[in-house]
Amino acid sequence: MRLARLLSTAFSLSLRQALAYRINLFFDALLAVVELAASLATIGIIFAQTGLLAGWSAGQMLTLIGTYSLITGLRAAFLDPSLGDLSQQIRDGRLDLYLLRPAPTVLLATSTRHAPLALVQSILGIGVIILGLRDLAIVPSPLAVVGWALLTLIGLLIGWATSIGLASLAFWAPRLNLGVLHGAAWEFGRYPVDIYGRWLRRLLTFAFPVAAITTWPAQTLTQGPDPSTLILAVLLGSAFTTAALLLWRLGVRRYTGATS
Amino acid sequence: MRRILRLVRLEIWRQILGWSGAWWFIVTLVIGQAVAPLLGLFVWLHVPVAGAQVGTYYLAVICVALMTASFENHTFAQSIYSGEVAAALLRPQPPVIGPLGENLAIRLWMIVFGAPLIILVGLSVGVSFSPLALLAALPALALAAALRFFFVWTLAMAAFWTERVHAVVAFGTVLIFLLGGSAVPNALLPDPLRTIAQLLPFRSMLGFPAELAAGTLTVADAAAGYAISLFWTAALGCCAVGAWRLGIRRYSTVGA
Amino acid sequence: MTYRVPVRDAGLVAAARALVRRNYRDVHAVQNVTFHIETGHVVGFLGRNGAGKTTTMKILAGILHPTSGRVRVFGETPWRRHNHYLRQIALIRGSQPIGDAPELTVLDSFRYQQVLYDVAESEFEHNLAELSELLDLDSILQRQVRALSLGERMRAGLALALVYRPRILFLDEPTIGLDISAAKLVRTFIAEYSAQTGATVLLTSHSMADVESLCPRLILIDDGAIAFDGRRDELSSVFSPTKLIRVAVTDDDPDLAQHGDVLQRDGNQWLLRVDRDAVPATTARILSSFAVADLSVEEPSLENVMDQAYRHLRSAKDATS
Repeated sequence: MRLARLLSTAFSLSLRQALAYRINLFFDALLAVVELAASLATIGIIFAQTGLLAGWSAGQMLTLIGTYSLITGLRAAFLDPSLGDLSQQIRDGRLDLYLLRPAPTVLLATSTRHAPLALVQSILGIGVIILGLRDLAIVPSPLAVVGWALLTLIGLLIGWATSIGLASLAFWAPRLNLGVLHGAAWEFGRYPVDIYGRWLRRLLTFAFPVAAITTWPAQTLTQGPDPSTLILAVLLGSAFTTAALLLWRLGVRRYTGATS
Repeated sequence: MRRILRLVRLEIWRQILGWSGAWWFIVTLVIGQAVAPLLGLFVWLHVPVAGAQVGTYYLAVICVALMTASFENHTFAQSIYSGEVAAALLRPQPPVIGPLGENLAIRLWMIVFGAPLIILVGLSVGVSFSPLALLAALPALALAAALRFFFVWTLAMAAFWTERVHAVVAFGTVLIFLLGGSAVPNALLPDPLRTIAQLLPFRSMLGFPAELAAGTLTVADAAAGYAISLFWTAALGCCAVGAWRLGIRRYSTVGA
Repeated sequence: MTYRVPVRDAGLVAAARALVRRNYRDVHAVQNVTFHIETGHVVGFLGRNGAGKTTTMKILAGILHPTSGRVRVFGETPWRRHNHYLRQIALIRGSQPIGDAPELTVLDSFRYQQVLYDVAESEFEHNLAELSELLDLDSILQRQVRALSLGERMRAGLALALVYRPRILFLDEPTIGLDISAAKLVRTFIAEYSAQTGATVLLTSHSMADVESLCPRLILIDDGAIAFDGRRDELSSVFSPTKLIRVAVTDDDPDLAQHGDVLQRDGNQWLLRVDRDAVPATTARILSSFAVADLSVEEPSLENVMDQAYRHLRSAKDATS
């Protein structure tokens, strides 16, 4: 499809640019390794002091943090560079440019600039997941893997939808930058939702579904797919995506109705 | 000397006013600093070995984090990249006053806007502070504030040599996170790592004042901690001066 | 009043009667603007800052949607932004000729345009080569966009916009900030491009040089309404029904002020402004009253005409308000 070709062209162009500066490549890769190592060290220390964390074993935690790294890397590579500055795009006229291009504006505004080097995080994340599975001595069934992949994709979709929804608020309040809020809430996905108190857990399942982003995929991979979880994830994913696109459309409508 | 103090006060006041308009941004900074200790709190509440004071400890960590936050990689490094540092060089005042004033102003605003969060966490977790412990922690807090400023400012001077100053400071942040008492309280670190972390400056920047405030340290430990803090404050202060001299020499030969 | 214009195959129908109202500021950006532009024409929009030129252009391009009225470009409604409409237009801003992706090279940006606008490979290669030669791009193709000067960016921006052969160009102050030779290159190129491909060009500009060399037709927008719509040479007769008489006399102490408005005096050289109708009589009087070394009758410059037009409009507005 033409859109897929457009995205892959944008990605390969960004990749070529990124590889042109080897020192930056080194820095970014090293940082990804160090940050992941710090997470792993933290988990190692926690599990040196206890056998289970809110019912999760060390191996299960590893699959969770690996999934977290995978999705965060994808988000950082494809979404963050463009989403970070929607207000700035409005101010400097880039949004006008995107409006007049023969491709969906929401896609152009949120995914034309990429940071391919962030994918190092994703690759490392997959490695950590494999480590976790080895620690548990499980080989997940094909159904579990498919469930995991599906939930991971839904997680990424929810991440995209929530980012767009928050960024759309820039159409009404240009000085408000909620990206940091999004990043902070995202961090709660590093741990299973079970460690949070009851109402916080509900918040993190329905208001900002980090549960769907990391906890459920990890659970599916290590314990097998659960139909109700899958259905709930699909519902949440569709709801958030629809709401986000609606908010975006309203925002653009407002933008194109006002004079500059 | 009196002139310098006056200049510092003036700079702080100027920056306080300058940053008063960015209240929303300050709130995002507060959230950014509070997330990691908050997560640590949630995690260690589930581990019985952590003890009853873990809630108090982490609340103290959040307070210390807000009061010692340093963003020189955004403010100071940006002035290097944009060339504004050249204007600062030509002013008849020590170059540290600019970054220092801005740092203190931002911290002040962060305390103001972070107070609701601190109260909220304090109420939900159920903390207990003894006034004596808090008193004992104050000097350590002052040293931590100075230490973290020197540390981040020195790292931010990487902007004289590279475009990737944010990555350099991110390394520093990871070190503070892991070894400073945010990811894991110092007492719970496994053996060789615990002693190493005590000797490094990171705990002095974050965990040490928090441990004092929570009352989890013996007198001997506290004294040792103070000695280490004092040492590192002097050491990192010298590093900052040295890095500045090297950086400026490079800047004035190579240019912006 | 609404009037409908039939859509013709070979014609571009752009009838716009637009009323855009801002509730909290009560600004009528564009009001009762109606015009009709044929395919292949080059039209200049003039007006003071804030008059509504850019708003009109944004409505025609499709960025803004008017609160009332009809807009049709190639039979399409621009603000619906259908893909097949967007593929036929190009908007280039003089202040930001290349809007995004500063870290890409120019050639990379071309490749992106090719995918975005679905240009066939052979056609793309041909267009690229042609534009490269016309706009002298060979030296900058491999460079990053952010490393280009404004002139280079404008040339690259034009080429990037034209590589997919749009049928209509919206140019917003295309020569702003450019040095003389760069501006001249841009103007010549636009004129040739339109002549060769039959593309319609709408441009806004404050530069009289742009207007003089490119736009046979002008639309003057003042305070959100059309103040003039016609041929460029008609503009002077509407707003400036005067001509200039340049005369050099050798008399000792001549006083030509009684014969017309003295615009300039430099020793023995005088520049007078005289009503058109009075020119023959005035010339005869001067020739008979003074020892004239040289005399010529000139059309006022476009700059003078514009200046007079704005003043005329402003005083008309002051009179009615």
